[in-house]
Amino acid sequence: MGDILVGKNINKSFGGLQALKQVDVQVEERKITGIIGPNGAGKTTLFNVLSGFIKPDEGQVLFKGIDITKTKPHDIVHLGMARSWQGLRLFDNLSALENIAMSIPRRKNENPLKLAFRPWKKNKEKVEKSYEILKAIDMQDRAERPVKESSYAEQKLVAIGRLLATEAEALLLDEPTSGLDEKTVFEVIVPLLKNIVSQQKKTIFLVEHSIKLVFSMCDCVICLSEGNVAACGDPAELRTDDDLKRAFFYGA
Amino acid sequence: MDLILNLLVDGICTGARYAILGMGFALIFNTQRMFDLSFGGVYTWTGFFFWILATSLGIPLVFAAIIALLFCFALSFGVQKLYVSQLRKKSDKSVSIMLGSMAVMMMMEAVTAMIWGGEIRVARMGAAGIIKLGSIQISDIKLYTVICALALFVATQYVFMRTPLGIKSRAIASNPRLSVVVGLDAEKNIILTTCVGCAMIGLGAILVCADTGVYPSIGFQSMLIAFMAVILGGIGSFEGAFYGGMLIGLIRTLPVLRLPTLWQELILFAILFCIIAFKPNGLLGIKDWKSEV
Amino acid sequence: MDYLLHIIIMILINIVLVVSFNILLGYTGIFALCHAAFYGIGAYTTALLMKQAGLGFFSAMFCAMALTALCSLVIAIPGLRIHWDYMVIFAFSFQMVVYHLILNWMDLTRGPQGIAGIPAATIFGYELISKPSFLALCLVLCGIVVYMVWRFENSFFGLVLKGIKDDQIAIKSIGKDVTLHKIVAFAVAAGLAAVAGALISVYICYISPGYFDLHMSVFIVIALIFGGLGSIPGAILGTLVLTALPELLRFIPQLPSTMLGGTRDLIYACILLFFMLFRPQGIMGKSN
Repeated sequence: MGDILVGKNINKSFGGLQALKQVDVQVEERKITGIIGPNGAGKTTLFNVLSGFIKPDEGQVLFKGIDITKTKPHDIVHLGMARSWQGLRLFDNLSALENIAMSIPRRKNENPLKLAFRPWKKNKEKVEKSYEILKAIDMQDRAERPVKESSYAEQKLVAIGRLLATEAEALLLDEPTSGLDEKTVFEVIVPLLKNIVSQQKKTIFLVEHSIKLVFSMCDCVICLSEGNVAACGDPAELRTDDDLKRAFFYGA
Repeated sequence: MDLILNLLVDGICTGARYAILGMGFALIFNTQRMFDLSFGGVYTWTGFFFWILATSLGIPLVFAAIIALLFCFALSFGVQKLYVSQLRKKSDKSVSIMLGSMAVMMMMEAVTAMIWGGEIRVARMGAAGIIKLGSIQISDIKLYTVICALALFVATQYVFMRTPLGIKSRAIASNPRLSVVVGLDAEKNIILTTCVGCAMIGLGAILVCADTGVYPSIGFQSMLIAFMAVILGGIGSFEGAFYGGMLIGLIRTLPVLRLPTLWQELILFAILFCIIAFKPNGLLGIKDWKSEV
Repeated sequence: MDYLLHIIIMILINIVLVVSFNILLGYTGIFALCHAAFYGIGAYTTALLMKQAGLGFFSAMFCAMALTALCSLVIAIPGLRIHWDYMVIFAFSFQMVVYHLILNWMDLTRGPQGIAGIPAATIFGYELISKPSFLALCLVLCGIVVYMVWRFENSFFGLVLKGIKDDQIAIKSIGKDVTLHKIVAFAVAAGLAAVAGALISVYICYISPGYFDLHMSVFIVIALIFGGLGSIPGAILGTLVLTALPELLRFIPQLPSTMLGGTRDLIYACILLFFMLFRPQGIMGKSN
């Protein structure tokens, strides 16, 4: 299985601060790759570079072999890679159903006039697809309420649902479980993500703080610290390294 | 040659008038980081107040000016405390502040129009004193305007750069959130600086009233000029506002040589449009305050 | 009776304006203080095409819609690169440029004198001169515009516009092109404003620059804020109240006619003042 997403020699500075230093990452297809590291290590910056929201000072980003370093974020989504946000960035005034339905890509038979002047609920295919996703995240009962009225946990689930709706092959999740209780994380989210990879044959790349989670889910782990990749590989193997253990895997 | 020289002087005098407006608005804008347009209404009311003092009450012009300035300061304080400050607390969206403050200005001008109608009111009885400098003729009030503009330019820069009060004020303005942490009151500073800015603008109104006169919608028009001066000179730059005002004054008067007067307004707005489209930081573009936040 | 018909006609024309402006401010959150400029471009284009080129009403109207939509690119394209907050001043400068162009381009627009003698609209050979017949035309066109905007609001495109108001960056991350959506929103809003322009030019068959100035743009804004941002019923309510209000003032015997303009402006100002502080989403708008 090849690498679907590759970052080569990525350098990024903000003012005087160098956030990413010669970072090389490889994300293998149909696997779950995790990236861990202390706050300020540059994980979110890396995500922003990979998904096209920030352009690196130096380096390249390749997706399915195509150079997407300079590609606009929405075009990258069309190519097959989408991301979620640490701060959720949901459309607060819209419902969960609307958040998800509008993220589904345009179908071949949807011409611009239809998109602009046809009431969206009439698109049965997209509505059904949205409800499928809502069921997967257990939100089908609260689908039509404005998202801002939902709890934090529900909002995090909707964010994942919205990401799924984009039908992207490679999903980048920025701290998908932070702030959630263990039950939701291990009974809803972990199985969902594992299912996405095994059944739907997608690739997942996620940023996480929970070491326990990373070890239970990830096929490969990247350790990032102060903009440098300290190590990367199979979690079980990395665990045996004492230096890494102290720096990254505290308590695990 | 004489004609051109006189036109130039005319342009500088008009520019000085606009520079005062620009500097006042620059003060207000730089502290608030929002477009508070209420000073337009304060301008109109100060101008009319001065006119009433000077004509109906017969108070000598200089005293009337001082009283009107105090009135202006108090008025702008009232406007801030009663309305704009409350608005700022409720919403940090600049659109809200802009619309709300514009409503205040509209209200003040509507009241003025209802009571006094649209005629032009001049504070001076009799002809203006003409001063001759070589082949240049200039009215005394226009000369005072130029002197005031220069004085304010120098004095304000001094206060803000050298005095402790000014430095504290700039610190608060550049980072209101942080300043709260170290114990400085951001809102008080904003109100105070806004009132000082309004006082400057009020001075502009007084000078205009003594020169060509005031009418209800003059506040709105002055607001537009102040706006353009700040944008031309560079948002966030105080000295830019001065130069911006002078430039607008010159643009307004010089083309009279070649173009019919009707086109002046069009040129002015077209310039504003192009500047925002291509060089949003203004001609002097000193700094983009947005990037500091 | 005639007077009542006049008010209803003005309300209908204004509804077209406010409902189309809702697309920009209410859904997408773009404070484009230049809607009267689009109104004016539409009106003058229709007037000139009908008077000089002899076009029929509907042909002239469609041409006006297309031209106005094209003109909206002038503000939409540079407007996308500048910061959100600058958009207000930028739109305002566009409004002033268009107004002064109309005022000064004597050869084309006859400046302050305005254009008189615009032919009345003729449908199937029937000339719409009488108020009731013109009212019928207004009802039909206004109804079509409102219906189209309703469908636009409830389409996928409309959802994206509402998303842009909430979070533009998130819109990019779900694969939608923010720039394209804003340009289209501008074009649609401007094109529909042109419909109002077409109607006003064949109403009393005279137009002058004063109908399309900043004051009018501000009126449209206040009507929308009062009635409710992002809501079509709100836009209609706001237009109704704010158009009818000044007319009602005429019936107050104590109020001299010289003070009518000032009183009207005072009421508008107070409405805006009140709503910005206490209820910025308007009467029927969704809270922000």
